[in-house]
Amino acid sequence: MSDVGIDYDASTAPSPVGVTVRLQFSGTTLSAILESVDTFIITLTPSGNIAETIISAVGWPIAQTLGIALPPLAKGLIEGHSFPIMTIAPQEVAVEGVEVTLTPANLTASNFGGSLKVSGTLALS
Amino acid sequence: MSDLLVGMSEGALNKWLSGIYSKPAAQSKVFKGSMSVSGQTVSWDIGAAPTATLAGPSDPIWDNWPKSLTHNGTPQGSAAPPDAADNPVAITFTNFSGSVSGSGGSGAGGTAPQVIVYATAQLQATSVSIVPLSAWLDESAVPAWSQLTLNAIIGAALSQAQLLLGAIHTPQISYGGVTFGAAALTAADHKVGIAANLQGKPAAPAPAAGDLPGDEFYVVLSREALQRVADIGMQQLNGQSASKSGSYDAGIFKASYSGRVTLDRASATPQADPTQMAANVVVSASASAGVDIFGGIIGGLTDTGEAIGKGFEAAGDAISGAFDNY
Repeated sequence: MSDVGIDYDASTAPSPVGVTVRLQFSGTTLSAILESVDTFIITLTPSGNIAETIISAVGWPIAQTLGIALPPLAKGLIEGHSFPIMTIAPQEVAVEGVEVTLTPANLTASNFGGSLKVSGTLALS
Repeated sequence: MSDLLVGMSEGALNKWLSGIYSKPAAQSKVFKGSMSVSGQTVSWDIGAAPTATLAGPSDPIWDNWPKSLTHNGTPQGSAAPPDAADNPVAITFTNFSGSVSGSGGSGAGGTAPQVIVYATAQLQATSVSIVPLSAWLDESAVPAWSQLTLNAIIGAALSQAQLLLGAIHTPQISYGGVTFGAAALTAADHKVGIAANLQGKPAAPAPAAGDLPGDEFYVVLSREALQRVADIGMQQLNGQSASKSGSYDAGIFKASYSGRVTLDRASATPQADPTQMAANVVVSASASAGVDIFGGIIGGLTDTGEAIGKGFEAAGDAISGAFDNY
């Protein structure tokens, strides 16, 4: 038996890949969640010298197989990734040992003159 | 505008004061007390939740400023009230009762319908510092109070106002690893707000009252600050990779292959409406295969040879069988 190595040139189109982001509250944390990845393709082309190229013709089916398998792998890495934008901790205020906890509630995000505003009410306990 | 603005409305502040007042433990610790003055004991009791007014001297609540008494009982008179830059605050105590016990004045009690404390607010590190200036009450409503009682009540009102509002801290908010510099406070127009710029930038000035939102509670992040948060959050994607490997059998050849995708230059950008973000990621791929092409051919030839051999065997058996018939 004799193994012949084939390398592939890979290209992604479009590049960069677009991702839809959604801002979402979870409790008092506002996070950005990478929700969905725009459709993209990865094209693999056998590369190398002439002999390798001839041999690599047999590698086209592999290129097609990987071309189909790789985009979902990338999507799996991206989709669902999230990062916190802000977390507002409940505030405990004590006066002479008497504590009141202020917890933000009913939070919403809005456009405040081009800045991001998170506003809501304060619940006491 | 600054990179960060955090604040609350006067209504929210008063909700908090009301919350403190509603705690049974606070009734005895915060809203009731006594002090010994010249051999007498002056007791006081605040009959309702206090309210704060976050407004400057143009607000009617400041009308009694000239008649208000300082800690030592001196009226403010013609002294100028604090200006807007000092963050003037008025705290109103309702139904402020006082009574005296001890030699010489026992039972000389009464209830002032209102005691208004005039103060200024400053931000020191993460705490709001209240500087009480003077307090006013309608003395005609408490004719039984001696000057000693009056001064004691004024003193109690000033100290309790400082105690209550001085307990307020800036909220603990984290911004995905982004930090901000020194903060500046504004209390005006019935709102309070704290401004700060991103760490490393010049300190933010006190926000203009007109720039403060009217919400009960709010946090405003500038586009630049939001971008900084997004940059940190997206960094975690860079360099992440996943791979796929397998084998392929096409009869004439067999191959094993592997492919990998790697993420790079992941970025997210706030849109014109910053509640919307768009993200981009560069996806790079690499792949290789090892093809066993001759193994496949030899394997095929071996199969063919075996078939031919079996054909000869079958032919030999047939000829041998034919001679057996003779």
